[in-house]
Amino acid sequence: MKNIKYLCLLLVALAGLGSCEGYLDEKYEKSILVPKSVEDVRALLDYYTTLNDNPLIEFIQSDDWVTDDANWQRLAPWEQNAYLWQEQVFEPVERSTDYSKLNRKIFTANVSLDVLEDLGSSEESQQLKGEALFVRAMAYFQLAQLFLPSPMLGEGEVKIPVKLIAEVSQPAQWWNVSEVLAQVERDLLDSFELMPAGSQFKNRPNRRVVQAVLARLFLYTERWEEALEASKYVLELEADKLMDYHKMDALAPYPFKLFNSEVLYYGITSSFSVTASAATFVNPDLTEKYQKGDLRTGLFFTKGAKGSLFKGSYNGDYNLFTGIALPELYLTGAEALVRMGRTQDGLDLLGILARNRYRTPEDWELNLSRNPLDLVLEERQKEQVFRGTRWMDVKRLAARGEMEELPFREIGGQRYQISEPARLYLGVPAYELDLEFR
Amino acid sequence: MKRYLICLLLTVCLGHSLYSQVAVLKGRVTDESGLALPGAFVRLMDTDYTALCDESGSFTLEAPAGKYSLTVSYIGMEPQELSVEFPAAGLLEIRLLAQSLDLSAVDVVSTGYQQIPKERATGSFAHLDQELVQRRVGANVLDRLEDVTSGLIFNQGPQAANDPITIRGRSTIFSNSQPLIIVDNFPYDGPMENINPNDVASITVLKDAAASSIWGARAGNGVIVITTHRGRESQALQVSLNSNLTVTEPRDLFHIPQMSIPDFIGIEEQLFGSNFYRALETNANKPKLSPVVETLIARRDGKISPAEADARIAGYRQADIRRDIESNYLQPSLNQQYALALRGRGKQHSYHLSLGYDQSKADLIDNSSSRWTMAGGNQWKFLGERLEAGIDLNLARQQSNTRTALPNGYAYESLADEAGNPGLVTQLYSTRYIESVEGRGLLDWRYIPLNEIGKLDHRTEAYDIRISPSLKWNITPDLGLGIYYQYWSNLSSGRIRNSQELFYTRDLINKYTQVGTDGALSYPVPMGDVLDIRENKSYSHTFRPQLTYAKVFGSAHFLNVLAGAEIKDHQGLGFSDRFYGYQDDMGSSVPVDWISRYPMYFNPGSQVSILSAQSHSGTTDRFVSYYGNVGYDYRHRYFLTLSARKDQSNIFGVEANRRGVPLWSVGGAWILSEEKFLSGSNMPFLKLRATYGYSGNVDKRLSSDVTARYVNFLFYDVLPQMRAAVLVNPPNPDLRWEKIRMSNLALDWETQNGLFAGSLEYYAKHASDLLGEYSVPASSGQTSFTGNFAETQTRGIDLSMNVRWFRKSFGWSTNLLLSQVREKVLDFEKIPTVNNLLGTAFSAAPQPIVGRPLYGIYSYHWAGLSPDKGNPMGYLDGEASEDYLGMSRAATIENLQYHGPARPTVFGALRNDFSYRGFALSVNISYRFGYYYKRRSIDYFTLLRGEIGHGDFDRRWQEPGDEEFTQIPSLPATADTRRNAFYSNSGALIEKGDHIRLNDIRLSYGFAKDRQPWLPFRSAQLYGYAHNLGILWKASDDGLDPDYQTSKPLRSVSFGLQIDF
Repeated sequence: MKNIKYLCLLLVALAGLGSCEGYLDEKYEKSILVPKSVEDVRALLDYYTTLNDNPLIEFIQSDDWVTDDANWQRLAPWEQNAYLWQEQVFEPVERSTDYSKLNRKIFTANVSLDVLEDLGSSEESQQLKGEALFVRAMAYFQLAQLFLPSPMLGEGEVKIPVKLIAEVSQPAQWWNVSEVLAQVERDLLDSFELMPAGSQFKNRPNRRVVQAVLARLFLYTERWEEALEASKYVLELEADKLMDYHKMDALAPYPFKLFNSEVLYYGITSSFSVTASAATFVNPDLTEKYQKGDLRTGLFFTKGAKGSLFKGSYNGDYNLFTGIALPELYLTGAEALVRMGRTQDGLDLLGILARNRYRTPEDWELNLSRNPLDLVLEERQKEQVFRGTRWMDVKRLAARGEMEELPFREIGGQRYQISEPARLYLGVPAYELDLEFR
Repeated sequence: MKRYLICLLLTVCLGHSLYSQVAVLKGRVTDESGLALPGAFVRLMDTDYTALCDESGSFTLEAPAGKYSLTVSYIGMEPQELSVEFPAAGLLEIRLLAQSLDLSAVDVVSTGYQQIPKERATGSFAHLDQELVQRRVGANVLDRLEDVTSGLIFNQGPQAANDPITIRGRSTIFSNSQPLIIVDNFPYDGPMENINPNDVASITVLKDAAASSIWGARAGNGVIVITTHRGRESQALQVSLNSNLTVTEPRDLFHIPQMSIPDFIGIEEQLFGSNFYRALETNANKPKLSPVVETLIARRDGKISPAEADARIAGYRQADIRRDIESNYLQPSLNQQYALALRGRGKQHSYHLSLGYDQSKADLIDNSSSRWTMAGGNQWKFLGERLEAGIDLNLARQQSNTRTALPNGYAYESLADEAGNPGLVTQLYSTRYIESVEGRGLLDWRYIPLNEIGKLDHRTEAYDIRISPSLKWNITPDLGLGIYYQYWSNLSSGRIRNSQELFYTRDLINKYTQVGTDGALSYPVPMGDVLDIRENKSYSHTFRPQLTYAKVFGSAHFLNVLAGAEIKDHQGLGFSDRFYGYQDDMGSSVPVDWISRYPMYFNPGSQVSILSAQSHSGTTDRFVSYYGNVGYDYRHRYFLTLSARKDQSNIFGVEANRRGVPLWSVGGAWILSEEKFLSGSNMPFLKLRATYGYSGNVDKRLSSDVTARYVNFLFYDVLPQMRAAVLVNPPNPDLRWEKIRMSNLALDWETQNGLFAGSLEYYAKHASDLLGEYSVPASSGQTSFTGNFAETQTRGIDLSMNVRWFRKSFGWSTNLLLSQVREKVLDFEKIPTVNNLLGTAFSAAPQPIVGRPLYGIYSYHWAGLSPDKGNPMGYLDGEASEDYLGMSRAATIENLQYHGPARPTVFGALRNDFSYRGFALSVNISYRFGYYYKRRSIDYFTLLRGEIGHGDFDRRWQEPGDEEFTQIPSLPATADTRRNAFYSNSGALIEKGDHIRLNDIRLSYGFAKDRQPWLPFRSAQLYGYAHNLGILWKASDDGLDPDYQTSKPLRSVSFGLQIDF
């Protein structure tokens, strides 16, 4: 009996061991956290190596560049297909890093919004909410440009999966281009209300950046008046920020500095095989368009043995700048004005940019005799070269039938023409479709 | 309650009809020194009359009057047989003699919680006694298990680093795959290098659920229990000394065949001719080019004459950097080991103290390491043995010193000129560039390896402390309460000082050097040394109260109960830091600007900030566990064991009720030889045993909440000052522990006189709830999700046999270990890509495919070389094809060739031990069968990018007809990734790994006082040991060792002396 008594006593003592409250609540690793504070969300939204990293496929499909057969051979199969605007770009067993990357940004934004929900309405948490909405809007806008047809070709049956909540197990909704772009607009407008006027670091958005993206969106949806308004919002606040290209050193290996005064929002596209390659040539048809006295020729390009190479990245190195920079707003504003029939206003606005881009006023004025729309579109192409906006322009101009000639490529002696405007989108990769409907 | 202080046992077997004739025999069993042996088993031969001795060693037997033969057995003691007559007057005193080591000891297996005589065990244990542990020579204790432990294999090849030991197959996919290591009853948290093998008394490997379920959630991969020497093993003060010396051959730089240097120079000349180097020559980063290419550039530009260029290149054709490295840097490595041990025991007190010193000189000159270990302990008994107290202290200090690093350079660069003067070796930048900046005020930017010999200052140091006090209170003779505690702490620090005498530091200062508008130089990375400091601290507290209860009921029932709880807290903290401009003699450094981005001196287009190398880490690992174990023994013939354990751990963000996992096991054993129907047969020992139960595994990196991790940006990121976090884990509310169900069925036998003994075990492991990754649609924000859903199955056989051919003055015994493992993935949703599968041969990541083992070897079907061009061919739509793109597009998991497992499925060893007088010879042969591996071969893609290639180049297809003799494709005109990828993933390179290896030989001569009375000490042993002696047979024609494709298994020889005073 005595034994049993001891046994019971001991068991009671042992049971006490486990009841230490909180003993097992300690986290396993210090650097791990469950995001729940304003600081945590700040940190999530500052992960710029993901959030400010933009898709490569946008650039690959653009007619900004060309390459030779030997280099094309070295590209990954999906890069080869995208370069030739093939209908099926991704292998059946392949995932698209660009597609995943954009969705990952959306997930980060959705998680941030979730966390902020419980954090009240302090100024900082409101601003962060604005940033998260912006990140989500920007990513869906890019997805729409890549994986959906132009919004000007009707509602369309083509859809992509959309998620506005962080829950991984919740299935996505399927939206067409007008639904997606409407959400983008909503998020941008909400974001504008919450956002500060400026930001400390250029990886973070602010009200100007939101307006700049709205300007892009309105241009894409051909809402000229609103595009003009949005551009003007930015231009009024950033009037003195244009860089004078006369003062730039064309001999420098990379003439522009990272975070220079024209940069509104940092963005990067980097790839070893394409952007860092010495066989990624500027499209010779495009280089021809730069006329005498255009300072950009010397600042943007170096002549190589086999073609021109690009050195004009606003990131100051061989990575492409694909963020948002001030010149785009001049071009968007000017295009909107011209399309609205306010040709002179448009050319005047363009003139401000041109003063900083051409050697002499005369060099610029020679152009003024041309069709104003052609001029403004050509200036846009020449200014925005290698900045990741060309694919959007190709899509909208093709949809309007304003491309003189649809772009084409030649590889292995064969000529590949861009698809008809209605087919200018990538299908959601088969691999993803398979998982979505599993 | 009655006090059973005198004899505990026993009464007559119930149902005995002749009760009236019962007589009594009383006795006491002790060891040589007269100490009681409680638990000794007494038995009257050919009857059911048995008794167990009590605390004082006494027993009482009741049996019908008559003459009997009585046997007494006790663990670790020589069994005794004597004639007795019932009834008998007085007390029969029986003294048992300690078993000498060269006889088959009745093994005691340790579960880490208790010692069980192997006889009574139901589970699967592999036991290494001291002789086997000490058979091998070396500083690492785990190595001693290799090829002498049934069911345990040391993995080789690409998996070896992450996954060195596998016991009975791998039962996890992504979680920890290593067995739990217990040292002296507690899980060991420190590095294994801190355990001195000379202190180890025995090692037990727990392989099945009954054995390991007591260790619960961390025991899914098996448990290795290491027991060190304690005082109780000897009596009077015993001093022993062991010293040995091991010489190991230096690494072999020529192990992987390399194409001939003149051939390679030919390729470089050809590439130069096709302007391949033009882009690199003009590249803004000024990348290095090989000396041949630089010579060709100089000749092209008229800087040197053609004759001069030819002479230089002719010189390069003769050179080989590997030869220079061998003669200037390498030497046989040397290990010295000294161990001194003192052990003793008095009536109430026992103690042990051991000291060990190991020193090794690496095969790379000037590099060395050393280790001091100290282990000491005291055990006391108080209050007439009712209270036992003990304290153990273990200290280890480990130190390593690196003063020289292996140089790297182009294959034909020379480290010294003909006169022996240290020569330049190309490093990072082109020679043209380095020459062009001479005289610009920079530090010397040339790399002269021979001048750097002995100049490194890299030191690491670690201290390891373990203190374990224990208290055991024998409340009653049956019931005991033990309180065990262990404090462990490890401090390790590393200091890497790269002085300005080294290229590394000068390069760092030079590349950050800024040129002012006036031409003045400034140095963001200041002059002086670069010092990296790393420090890690970890400690753990483990506390374990444990109750034991052992009682004999009636004449035949023995119950042994163990219950306890364990609480553990393990913490780790670490940081690293870097200092620039460090001056060692003054201990001062200079602050730098971590944030600004500086244009590089060699390429102003490239801007980076100064590498900060600061990092912090911290972990907390906590467990609260409850466990219990019940052993029941009926008539020493039937055994039943039950054990259960519940572990709770601080898995992050998991609901409290999912933190824990209850695990249990049940086992039974039946000694058939004790049955009447087998008595008298020539099988004195035959036992059948079976177990069934669960053990577990956990991956603490996962969480049920959304988690993020703070990240440090790198020096090339544009905003290094940002504090950012990345989402690492989507929420997984269903996260739970991995569970491994194991069953084990075994037969143990031993024939008369131990002539032929062995055990055969069959096991099945079914692992479920394994954490695995599966793909989710990218629209969810993730591409894959880790959850509990994979399932694997492992089945196998472990056979271990021992034959004693002779055991007289000439002794010969043979030990055979044979294990067979069949692994299979039962369920896994994530579909690996074809490239994942083809890559497995060289990667360590498992690629689970349902129905196949976790590691498999896959390839493209091989259709030989094309007769016209020597192109590699595969199959496309059933036809031989050279359409590499087409074949890669058409490749699916189904149409790849599956050769077989990448890990041996049949393995083991055959050991022969011979003895003659004092001489002993032991030869161990190991074998591995039933697996495949991928051979390395010529990579034309990298060769045509100017990198020297594999020696297969010499045997390549060169002209039509060669395809009859060779499978090595021709040199293509241009670098073609797809052709190359096809060949390197083709079946042509897959080989069968089966082989037999002469693992080691040990020869010793023992001196003993009874043979050599002149000896000034009790005994001594002089021994020699040779390891990695070579392959005896292999299935493939590959010149290289299947298990050592990238580096040679180094042969070593050791000599040593062991003296017992």
